[in-house]
Amino acid sequence: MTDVDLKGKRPISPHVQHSAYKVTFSMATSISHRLSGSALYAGMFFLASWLIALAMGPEAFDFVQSLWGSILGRLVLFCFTWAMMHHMLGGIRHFIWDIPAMMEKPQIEFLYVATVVGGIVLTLILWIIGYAVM
Amino acid sequence: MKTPLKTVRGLGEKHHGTEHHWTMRITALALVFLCIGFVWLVICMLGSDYESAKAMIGNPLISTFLLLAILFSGIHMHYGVQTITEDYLQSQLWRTLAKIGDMFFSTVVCAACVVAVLKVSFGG
Repeated sequence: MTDVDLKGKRPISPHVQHSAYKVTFSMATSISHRLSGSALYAGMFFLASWLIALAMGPEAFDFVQSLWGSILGRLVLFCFTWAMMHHMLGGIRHFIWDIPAMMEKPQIEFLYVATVVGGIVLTLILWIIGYAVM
Repeated sequence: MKTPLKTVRGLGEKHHGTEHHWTMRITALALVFLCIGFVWLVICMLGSDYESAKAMIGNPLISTFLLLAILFSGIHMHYGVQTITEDYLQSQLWRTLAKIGDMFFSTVVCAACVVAVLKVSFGG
């Protein structure tokens, strides 16, 4: 331990800087929670743009509506919906572990699969409802 | 008398104990409900024109709900990105720059959302 420089480069988790571990499904899902969270972070800009346009007046609102109504806009919103559902289910997964419950290996694997599948299914259901309503 | 409480109260890098973790959990719990409500609101507003969208956001119940969603999202996103910068950015300079950028982005975006909702509600 004598060569550990505690003041400068402090030791950090090995997987962060040197992928020391084999990539597993649970690991990828765990990281995707942070990635979807980051996507939602950026996505707050979209919500702001829509609300500001509404506050500015009919011209600005129609312009922003046409942007989000375009194919590219819808694609971004679809990804945004998925990130939201995936991140929400990931949060619920963390709540279950906070209880603590379902901490056995097969249950952990099940929750990871449920997060991924549930996120995709919820996103598809919401968009099907969305197109049915419109 | 010493209890395990001393390990959570006032300790840690910024002397905030478990405040960060606890705030994340509380805002996450609120956001589960707020997200479901938000998705429902978006579905209700699909294809609506300017006047009906304005009337909907101007509804006191919906604007209260939106303001809460913005507030909790703002805290949650700010704290979440803080965790990410602390975990992945080793350089003190980049970490500080990222934190400054996060503070500005979170504050500006949330302030813009709040002002917009209030203007639609009160601005006539």
